[in-house]
Amino acid sequence: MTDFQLETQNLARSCHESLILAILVDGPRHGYQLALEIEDRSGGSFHFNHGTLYPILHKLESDGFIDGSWAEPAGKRKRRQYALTAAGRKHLKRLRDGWNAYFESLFNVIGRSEA
Amino acid sequence: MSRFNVFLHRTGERLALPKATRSLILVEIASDLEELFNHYVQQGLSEDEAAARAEEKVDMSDEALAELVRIHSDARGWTDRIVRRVQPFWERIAMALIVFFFISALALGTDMKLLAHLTGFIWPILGILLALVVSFIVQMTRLSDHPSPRRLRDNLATPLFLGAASLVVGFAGTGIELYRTLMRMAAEPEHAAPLFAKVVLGNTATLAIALLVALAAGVAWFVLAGRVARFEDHAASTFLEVK
Repeated sequence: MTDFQLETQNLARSCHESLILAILVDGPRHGYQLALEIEDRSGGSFHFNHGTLYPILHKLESDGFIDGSWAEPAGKRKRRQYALTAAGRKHLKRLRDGWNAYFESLFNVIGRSEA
Repeated sequence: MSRFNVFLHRTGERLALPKATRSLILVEIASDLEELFNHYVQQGLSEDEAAARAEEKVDMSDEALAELVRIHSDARGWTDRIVRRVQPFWERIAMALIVFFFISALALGTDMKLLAHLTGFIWPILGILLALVVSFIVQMTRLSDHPSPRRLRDNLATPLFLGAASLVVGFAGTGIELYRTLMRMAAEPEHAAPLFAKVVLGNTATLAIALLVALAAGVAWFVLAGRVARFEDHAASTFLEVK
């Protein structure tokens, strides 16, 4: 078991945070890229609305888990991109451990589906 | 600002945040809208369909907007308005008055030799003053390094906390010293008068320094907040340039 406990009252938020941080492990991304990539990688299971994305991104940034910066590609509008910080990596690990423990407990109760 | 002008204007009206912060958020949304629009056009949608789809994707619920406002709002809301309202003209006048008062008070304290009667509570107050000086230098250095607009306000409230701490120590020290002296006066009534005079002098001197440190903390915060506000306004005006 891990010391870190997922906020069971707010699993959706923990899920969103985990998805965003996991995508950022591969390198900095813009907001729209994050949403599209999460949708793509999950095979369409997670439809990420940007309206949900911004509060989570800004909260993660204010917590120091991601770092936002402005990029200015030639001939294009300034764009905000986010990169994972060292604290963010640690937080992602805690979230992963939390999810493992959570599902382990859940399956202990409901059992796993038969193959 | 492009085809999404109405959408951005509508979103901006629902964001109850200071202008600079709101502008930065809108610029972020605007760039994502453009990228999503391009993405959908590349997928074969017409421009109208792509624009509608991008707006639908980025549209924020009232809950999401409230959450965003909560993240970006704290006790600084009213202080923000004060700082923006008084700068830059009144900032200079207020600064000049405060510095004048600070120097006058210091000169008066020295002249009356109050400093010779300071109580032991002066040491934590001087510690707070040292922390204030270090914090101010660190903040000014950080601001001169052009930090990310969202990190500008990190630790901005530190001078205010230090000023409050100085006042708490000053007043608590006065209370404790008074209590101790009263106990001694009760035990040694023949020395009551000199003991009382001594505690009044000591407390006055210590409290005066505590007040000056709190005042200095207020000035430090005012200068830092003014600088941050200017950075934010500059950042907002730069980011809002239409490409």
